[in-house]
Amino acid sequence: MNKVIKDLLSRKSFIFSIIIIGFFSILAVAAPALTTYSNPYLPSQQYVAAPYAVPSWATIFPQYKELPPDVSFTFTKYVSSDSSYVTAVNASYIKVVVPPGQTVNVSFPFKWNWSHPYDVVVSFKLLTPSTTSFVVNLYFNGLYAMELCPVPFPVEPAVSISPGKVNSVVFDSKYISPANSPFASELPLSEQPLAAYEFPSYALPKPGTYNVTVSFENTGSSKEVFVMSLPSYSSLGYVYGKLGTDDNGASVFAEFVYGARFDLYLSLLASALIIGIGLFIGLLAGYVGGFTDLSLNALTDFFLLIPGLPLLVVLISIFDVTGTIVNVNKPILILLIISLLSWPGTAKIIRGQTLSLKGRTFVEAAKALGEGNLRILFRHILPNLMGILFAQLAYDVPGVILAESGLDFLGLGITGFPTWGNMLGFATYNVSFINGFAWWWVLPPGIGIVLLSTAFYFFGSAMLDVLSPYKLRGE
Amino acid sequence: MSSTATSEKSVIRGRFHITGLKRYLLKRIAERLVLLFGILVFNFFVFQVLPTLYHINVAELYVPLSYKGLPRSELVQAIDRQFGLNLPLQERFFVYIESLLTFHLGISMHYDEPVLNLIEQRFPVTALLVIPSLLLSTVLAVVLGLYSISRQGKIGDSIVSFTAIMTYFIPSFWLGEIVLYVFGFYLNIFPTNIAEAITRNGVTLHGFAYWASLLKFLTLPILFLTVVSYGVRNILFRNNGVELMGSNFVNYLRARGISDRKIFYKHVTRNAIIPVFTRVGIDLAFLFAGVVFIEDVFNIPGLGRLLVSAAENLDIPLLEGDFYVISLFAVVILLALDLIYPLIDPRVKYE
Amino acid sequence: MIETQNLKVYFKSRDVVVKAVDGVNIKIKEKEIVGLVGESGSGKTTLGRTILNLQRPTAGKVLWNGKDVSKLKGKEEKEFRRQNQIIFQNPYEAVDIRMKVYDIIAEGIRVHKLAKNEKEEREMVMNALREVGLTPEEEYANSLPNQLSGGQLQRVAIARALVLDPSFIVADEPVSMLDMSIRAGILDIFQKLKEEKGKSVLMITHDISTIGYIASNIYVMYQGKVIESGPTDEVLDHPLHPYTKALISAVPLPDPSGRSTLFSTEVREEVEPYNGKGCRYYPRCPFAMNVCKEKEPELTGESNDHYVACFLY
Repeated sequence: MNKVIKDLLSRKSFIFSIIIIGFFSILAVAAPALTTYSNPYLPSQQYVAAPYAVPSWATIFPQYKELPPDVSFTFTKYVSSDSSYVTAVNASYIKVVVPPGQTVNVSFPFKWNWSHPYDVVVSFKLLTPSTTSFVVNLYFNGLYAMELCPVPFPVEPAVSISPGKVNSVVFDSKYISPANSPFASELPLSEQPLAAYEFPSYALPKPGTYNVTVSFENTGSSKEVFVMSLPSYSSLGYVYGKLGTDDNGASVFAEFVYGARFDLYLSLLASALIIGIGLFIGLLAGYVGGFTDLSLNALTDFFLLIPGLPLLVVLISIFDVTGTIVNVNKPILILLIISLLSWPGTAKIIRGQTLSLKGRTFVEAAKALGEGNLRILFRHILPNLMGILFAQLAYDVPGVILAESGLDFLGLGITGFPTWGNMLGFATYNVSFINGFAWWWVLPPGIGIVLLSTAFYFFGSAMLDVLSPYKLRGE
Repeated sequence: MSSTATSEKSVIRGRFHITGLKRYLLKRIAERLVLLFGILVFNFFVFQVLPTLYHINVAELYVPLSYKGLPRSELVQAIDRQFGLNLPLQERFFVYIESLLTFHLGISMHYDEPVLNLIEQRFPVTALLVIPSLLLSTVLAVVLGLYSISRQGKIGDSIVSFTAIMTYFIPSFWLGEIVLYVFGFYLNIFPTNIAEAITRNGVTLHGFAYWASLLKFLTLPILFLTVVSYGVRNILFRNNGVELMGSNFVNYLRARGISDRKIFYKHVTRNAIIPVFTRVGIDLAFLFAGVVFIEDVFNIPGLGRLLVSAAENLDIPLLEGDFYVISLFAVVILLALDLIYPLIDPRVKYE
Repeated sequence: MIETQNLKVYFKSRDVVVKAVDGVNIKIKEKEIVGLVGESGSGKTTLGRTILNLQRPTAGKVLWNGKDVSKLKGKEEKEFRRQNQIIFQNPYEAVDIRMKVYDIIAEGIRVHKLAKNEKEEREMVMNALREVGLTPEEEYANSLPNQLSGGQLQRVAIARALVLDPSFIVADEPVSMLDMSIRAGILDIFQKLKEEKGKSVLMITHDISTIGYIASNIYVMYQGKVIESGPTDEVLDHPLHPYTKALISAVPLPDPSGRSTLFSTEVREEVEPYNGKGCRYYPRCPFAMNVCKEKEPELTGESNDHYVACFLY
């Protein structure tokens, strides 16, 4: 056994394949620890950053240098036009006293080091007076972002708040429209639909110091008191994580890792199934011979000669139609269909090997010793097939990965959770002149497929070389 | 075997020379007919028996969810009556086989056109894509193979062979999309929109101009298909050549004083190329099956794309017809290959 | 104890029928070494395999103590396997090279459940190894086939057969793949088997000189037929069939004045192919007559159990 391992380790291609397979296996096993997003195709796990956010390490390239990451913080400093009106209640609350007929502005300055983010969200809690004679406005660097009125049905674009209560005020640039934001309603009519997209670039166009201003206007005749929390700021950036984001702002790294998990899982299972069927048919045909061999061989040839991919497409679709009623689990269906279509090659190889082993003198010697057929099969034929079986297991994996990815790519396979195939499908679907080329999304699954397939191929070749006993003496 | 027995055999060989060839051909034709029958039965099983097993009225598969605002149940009944789909399976079998053999492939309700028409339109497009690339990739495989054989074991051979093996594992749909982006969109060398490519000033081109501009549109996919499909043939040619170079056959030629150059280009190449020809034939047979991804990525309206769109729209008659034509093509080409094979490789006569 | 009756084994490949064994009657008595001589392709290996029921005969039968071996079932078949063993020509091919020598030899013990426990099994294996001269036996038992030489492996193969204590062994060219220097050692084992253990051996060989040492009876085969048979000394000293004479004269003897000069026989180049009905040897026979072309000679008795199939006698 030691000799076998030593022999294997002396091969560069084997070392390469072990490293690659090991890497992806670790990725697959450790997936839950590596990312918190177990299914980035669920809407709840999307928008962890802007769509098409680049990987964070990509900011070393000049064209991505200015892009902002996800930012969120709570303001700690504030500036007011007259400090006597504004006092701190505690570390996170301030009290604003507004004399009748006056306006008090409280500004929260912050430094911004990048180009504009995907969105801007500012939120704070506000305890309003119990009258209706006030207006609170939110400005973003002089952009009139939000107008809050204490009446139940304010005139658009004002938004209502309840008087005498704690209100949760949230300004989210993603949802602004002429109905809820003066910024949007003041734009020319043609630009209004794009307000939500344009706001961040107006508000935070380039690195610099900016401020969020809350303006309290007392329209009544008596002094009013407001209490507000220090606001929090958050924005989704165009830089995210190890592999950026897809068109829905979901983590590509999470997709990649869970895709690897599924692909490895499925391909190993399918290969095992293929080996199982192939071994059964191949052994039966090769060892029993005669009419059994003839008919099994015809069956094998038939499956070998009908065009595989179209058949796969046809079967998946027909099961899709019928499956809506019988409710078959799609991954299991794909697993079964791919296995049922892929065994002929393996069966042919095993049949050939069995035939050649059966003709060897040592099998005849075993017969002469009085061994029965079953004993010969399990003690002499099967152990000598082990190398081939291992090699075939490895050789079948690339085929399964490619077939499954192809189906997913065409949108006929799995779409509900990430696989490398559907990642490529979605990614390439979104490649266009406008979106540009999201290389961090397009490349990893493809490279993953190529690396893993090649690794399994070399692994199989090495196994075949080393484990075939009749190659030891160069026979 | 003693010499007497050998000569006894050669007598028989001599006498049965023609018979051997005839028997080979008859056997092959019989095999392919069985295969064709198998495909017919398989089609029947998939499209008729399987839905019946799941208690689905087959006619329902043939009617799209909505069609010209007509009530679906009426349509289903109409199709039922028209094609006898509510007959028992055993009666349906012969009707079905007959309709496949006579190319009565039904009507695609999605495209609102007979399936056969659709296939006739798409067939030449796919042929224009695959046949040039088949020729080009064979040339590429042989040229690179000759290089590999002449530098066997050296770094150049390793690089060429490794690249060829890699082409087995590169998903063509992935690399195709990248190639399309780089050469089509980014560098803007090749046209990317077929509708634009085959029209001028809003009018669809006809005749020679149509085919010329179609070919221009197909240049990138043809080149790409060439690159991703040459690998198998290259490795096949190289391994055969390398084996021959080390065989006694070559040693004898050397011993007879024939120059290495002549051995290499005449004897080795000629013998190593036979399996490549076989492989080309097999590739040709499965061509229409193999270009599904390429057609999908490059948006080429061929048979493969038709199959995918049929699957996407669950357009069963189209799916059925397309699949049948693709497999029928494979059988026909395989048979043709069997028939011309004795001309390429004289050894089969004696098999 | 072993007897074949008009045994025929034909192989069919496409248009050609090869008559590997064509109506052979041979007899092996107890405690006897019988030699079977012929050139390669004469059907002697097929005959050996058919005798051990490893190949189905096309016609005729093989009798083991009067029973047809191809009809044996269950216990009787097992007993037949235990009592009749075979040694193959190529020792490298004849053992499963994944298994240790110990397991190779123990395989038969396990199949026939000859040992009550592991200790007894071990003892039997070690004895067998010693018997064939593989000492220190412990060391050999633990080695793998690819660590052994051809001669050593052939001894392992013999040990594997001996451990079953068979009464009859077919030895199919047991030394032809081995170096000259170790052939005698292997042949000695067979000699001892007969003398000390009273075993019968059918020794198949293409080398008539090997047989002279140990066989008491000899059969000469040509193209699936026995063309001459008799006691070894008788056949070697007075060969009758032109083919036997040719075989003997082809043996390089250290003494040039020995037998070879006695029957210096030339072999004709084949002038015409075999016509399918005459004597199989006539295309090469220097004494070919017209009758040889027309019908096949029968095996007829000459004297002292010496039989020959030739129209010359």
